[in-house]
Amino acid sequence: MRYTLAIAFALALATGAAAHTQTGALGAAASATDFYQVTCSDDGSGPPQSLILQIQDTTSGSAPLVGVQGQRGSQTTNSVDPTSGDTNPSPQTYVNGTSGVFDVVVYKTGAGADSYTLTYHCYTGLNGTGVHTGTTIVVRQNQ
Amino acid sequence: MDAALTRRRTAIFSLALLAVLGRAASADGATQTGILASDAAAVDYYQVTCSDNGSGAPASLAVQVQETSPAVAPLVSLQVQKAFAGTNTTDPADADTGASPLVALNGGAGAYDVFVDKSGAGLCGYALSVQCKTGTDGSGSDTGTAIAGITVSPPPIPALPGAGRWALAAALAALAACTARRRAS
Repeated sequence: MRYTLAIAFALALATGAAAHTQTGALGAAASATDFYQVTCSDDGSGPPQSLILQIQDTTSGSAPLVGVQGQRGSQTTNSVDPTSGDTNPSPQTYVNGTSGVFDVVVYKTGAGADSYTLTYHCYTGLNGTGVHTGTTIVVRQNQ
Repeated sequence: MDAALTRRRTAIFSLALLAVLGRAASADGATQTGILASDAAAVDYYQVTCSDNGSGAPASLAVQVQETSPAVAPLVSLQVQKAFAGTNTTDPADADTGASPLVALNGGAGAYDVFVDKSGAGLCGYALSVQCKTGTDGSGSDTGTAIAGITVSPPPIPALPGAGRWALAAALAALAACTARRRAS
């Protein structure tokens, strides 16, 4: 199980940057937390004004729920995938903020290993509107 | 009046009162009560500052959250973050007397970001406990702990009948006057 999750995670690291999706795995500890920083910038499409976030729990069975929490300055948001292992992600949510670094934390609601796919996109409009613009991600903590 | 509507209004009123009382009492303790707004994306954002109050230099921040909603509601979680490190905990059961597991983040002195959120839509009351400790992983003695709300959901306005609205307004006014007198003295 852990081996499969590790392979999926490694493959995603190799391919995730272009698609603006990031797969990962949270360890069995209930407090396991993955921490990313997403940088929004003007790639020629226009200056960013918001970051869209969405998460999908990709572990089936009785795994805990997986959530994503985003922050930039005093702006925050949160979204939880209500069902583990199905094909539907969490509701899409957003944080407003201009060019710069957004903190993104992936967590779960209890003990048990869990895998996920995080989707993140910077947009030129407020509240996730406008067009897609420069988006990069860095892993800060992987538990 | 519909019985379900009455129960809902009573629940909202109870949560609002708990939130007001909790915020009024938070200055002299490392606990904080609040109510997350209905929106599934609602997050209450606090900063906790750890400092040496004479008991020793802080090494970690221990945190815990308890959902206080009187009925079934989404699960309440908290995330704590400092620099490039984070941890989280979730209260696994609604409307009971138990809290989430206690977790700690080793970050030394300074400001920690603490976020309280929930697993879905619906009003959700919570009690947040924070304590800076002199040892790593929440060990050692209590030391200087201060909490400040950065972005916190406003208390909901319950749709009460006329007399109820006046009673709530009077209670809030009395609390505000009491708090102002305490700060002035």
